[in-house]
Amino acid sequence: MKTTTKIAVFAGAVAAFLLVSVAGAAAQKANIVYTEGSAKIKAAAGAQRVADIGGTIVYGESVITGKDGLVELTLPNGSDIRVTQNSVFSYSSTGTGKDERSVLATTAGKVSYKLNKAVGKPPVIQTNSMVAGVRGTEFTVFAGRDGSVLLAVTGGIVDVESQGQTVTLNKDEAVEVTPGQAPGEKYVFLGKELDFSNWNQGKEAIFLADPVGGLKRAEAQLAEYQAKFDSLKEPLDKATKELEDAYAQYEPVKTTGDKDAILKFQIETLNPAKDKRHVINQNIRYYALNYLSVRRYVLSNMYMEMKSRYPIARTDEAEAFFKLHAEILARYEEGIVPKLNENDY
Amino acid sequence: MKRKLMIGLPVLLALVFASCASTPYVQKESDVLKLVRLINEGKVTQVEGLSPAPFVLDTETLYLESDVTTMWNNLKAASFRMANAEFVETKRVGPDSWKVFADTFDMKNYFAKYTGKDSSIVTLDTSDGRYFLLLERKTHGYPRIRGFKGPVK
Repeated sequence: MKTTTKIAVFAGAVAAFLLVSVAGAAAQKANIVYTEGSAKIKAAAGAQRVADIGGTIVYGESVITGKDGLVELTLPNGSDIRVTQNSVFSYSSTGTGKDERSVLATTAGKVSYKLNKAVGKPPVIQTNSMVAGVRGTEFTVFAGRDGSVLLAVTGGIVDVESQGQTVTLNKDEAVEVTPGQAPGEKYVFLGKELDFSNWNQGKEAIFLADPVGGLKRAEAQLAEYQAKFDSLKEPLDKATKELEDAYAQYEPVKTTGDKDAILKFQIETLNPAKDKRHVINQNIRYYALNYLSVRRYVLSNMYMEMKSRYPIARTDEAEAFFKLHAEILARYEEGIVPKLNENDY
Repeated sequence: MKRKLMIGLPVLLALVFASCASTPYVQKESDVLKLVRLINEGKVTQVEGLSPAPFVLDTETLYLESDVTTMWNNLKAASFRMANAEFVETKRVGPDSWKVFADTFDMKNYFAKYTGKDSSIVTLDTSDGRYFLLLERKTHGYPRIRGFKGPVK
């Protein structure tokens, strides 16, 4: 029997319902079952510790591997995750209560997944330019330093959707997604594993051939997050007003001392108003955190590549790159940072 | 008397060591210029070993060790030098030091999370402009470098 997995590329297109909780109180622990070389765990509050066999990571934490690093994790439902060298894998959750789902994010490098379909809600697979809902399949996500993503399936069927277009991948098929674009043509990789290093070097070469173009592609991805973020401001204001109104109506109900009436008002009016506002606020943070991820792992890398090549004398092209980079950072500070907190860093 | 000395000496030494460990580290000009020479000579392997991730480059934070390595390799390939570097001053990292690098959310949090009492910002003037180096207690004879900004004209 074939296992079908639906993957929707680009968070903006599909993830309006997502709630991300990076500091979930009821966080599920992922067990570290194997490590090699240099590997650290970055806690939500920013402190880093060495990744040790027998240790755990919880929601809000990330695995960062070095040049010789490797970390293997097992989720509570038995799913296996393999974080290879020079990679960043982040573990968080979406939704609350019975709707909670794990979010498994590949923000840099290569992460392989072998997901167990038997137990629990399916996790959300995320990268800097992709969100996926998967169940019971094996695949690898390659997150290029230019924001591109390559997804290769080694078990089951995966539907990759981006910009309204869907590509269905069978076993041994792969597809590439460039930020802000529909999935490319799928292709077959028979017989051997894809070479991520070569793929990433190709991405880097494309970026260096046209750094401003590369930055603009990342900017398009950020603009999509920003647009989603902005589109929720009005609903948030409306929900805030509704909650204020609900509290205003609640005061006279409370003064009656009628416990049944108080409970009825809480259940029918106050709590739904609270939940509605909470959901919108969490969605706003979801997009803000996606923006932060691209800013942190894609824009920083692009800046490093350019600054280290043009440390003092700059070409016109380099100047144009640094100018646009500064503009994007200014927009991030003004528009996104107010929705972040220090634990997001 | 001899017995008292035998007991007292280790205690005294322990107190001296504890006091050294808790005293904020001050960067010496000679050590800083030694590090600059290492960078200018393009000794990437050594400099990389002194540069832990996350590393600050101007406004940016490099989280991956491989990015820090790439940065030093690229700088070497670009014949990067802090030419005619002169030590201007060293200041221990304080509450507002992050603004030297960038007045941003990221830099504020980087300094809050990854710098401590042994962290200093050293100012250097060079032929190409001013550099700010974020340095820590030395290891193997050289200060560890957690980031730099510049040249600022």
